[in-house]
Amino acid sequence: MNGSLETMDLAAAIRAGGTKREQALSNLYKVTGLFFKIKQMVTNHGGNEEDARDVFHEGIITLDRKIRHDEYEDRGTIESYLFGVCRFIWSNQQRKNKRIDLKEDFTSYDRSSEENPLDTMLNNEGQNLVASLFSQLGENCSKILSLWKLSYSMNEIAEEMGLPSGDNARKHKFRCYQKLLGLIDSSPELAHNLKNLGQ
Amino acid sequence: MNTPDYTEKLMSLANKELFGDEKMQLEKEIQENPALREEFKKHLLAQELLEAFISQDLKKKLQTFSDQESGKESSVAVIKKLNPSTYKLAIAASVVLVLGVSSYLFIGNKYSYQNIADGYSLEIQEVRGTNLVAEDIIEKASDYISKNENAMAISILNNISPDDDRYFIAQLLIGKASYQDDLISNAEIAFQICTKANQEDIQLEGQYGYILCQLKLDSWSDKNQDILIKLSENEKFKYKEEASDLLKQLTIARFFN
Repeated sequence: MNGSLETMDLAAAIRAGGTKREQALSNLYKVTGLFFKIKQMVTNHGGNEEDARDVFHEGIITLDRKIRHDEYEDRGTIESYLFGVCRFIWSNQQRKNKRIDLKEDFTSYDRSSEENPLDTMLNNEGQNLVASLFSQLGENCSKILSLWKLSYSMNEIAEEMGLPSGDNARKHKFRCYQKLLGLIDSSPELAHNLKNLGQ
Repeated sequence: MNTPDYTEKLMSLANKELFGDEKMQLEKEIQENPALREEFKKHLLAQELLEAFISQDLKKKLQTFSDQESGKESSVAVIKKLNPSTYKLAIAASVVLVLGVSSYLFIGNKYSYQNIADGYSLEIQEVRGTNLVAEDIIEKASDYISKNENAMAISILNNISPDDDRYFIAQLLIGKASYQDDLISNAEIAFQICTKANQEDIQLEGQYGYILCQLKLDSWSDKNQDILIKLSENEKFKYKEEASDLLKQLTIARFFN
């Protein structure tokens, strides 16, 4: 894929969810020169190509989440926004490793929402916990709940899962959600995070 | 507070699906009621966990893109490193090598393709990204289920996609494996998918599995009763006798419930 992406189209496609979202993210991944630019930034500041790839992936995940949560501010091209996100991620990582401090230049990117301790928990130590939790929840329940979280309608969920109707999908969603709440109750690690939430 | 109605409302509020007066009213209640506030925190955590799960899923997809890209890059990189004359020489050398090896293999039956192939057996992988075909997966999964290794069975069965004609059988097995592992909500979904199968035996077994899940979930209804009656009367249904027996037991149980 060449050239600049239509920011609004891309953001709208991500918000729409489903195959549109996946296509948009795949297109974004293939933008010519974007990864090269991020690789240059990372390698010029103490990292290697593998670090650059990780930062690029984290950046896309953050961008996806921000767009879906309506926290994305459309002030320039989506590429420059993603570059700003990646720059912040790398700077933050460097700061934690006490290696190099990048100059402050995070145009069009608001970092305030990145300081959530739960985010940190989920991005680092908690990854295995999340994987184990959703494995206990089961593949079908995990899929139904993530489709719901990705703003699929109940009819779309029914279609995706091969269920008879939207009402039926709603019933399953509710049961799966209750099961997730039950798993939260029975996990001491999560109970600990629950105490810190909202403080 | 733990009524389904409240759970549904808190779930909607945590997922930002509640608006207007209803939202304001619930927010006010949460502020004034410490127990409700604690309950709501759990819903917020559930939302965060779902986000984390979505991120992990996206990370896996991005890694796939990355692997595809690096595969492309590596072959291009090798070609780019060769200058034109070396490149021609490399092609010539490859042709000679291929011809040489082929002739060698065809000299004498000992080196025929069939004989060579006979000395090898295909490795079967039981992990995600498997190269097993649907039929092999079904067989392997059935074996796992019989040994009560249900998680393993579910893991490989999920590789069978909806466009595969063995999809409904796979869902039936996922239902059975989930049921055995007490993952009733998952079993219920899988069995319900089976009720849309074209093959009648899978449909009927799906209905029966669904009925058993309803009992486990304590969600019995007249509609379920009707399905069970039909199953118990259907000559084509493999577990007709069991269905009939279950029906009798439920009739007795009704007196006590």
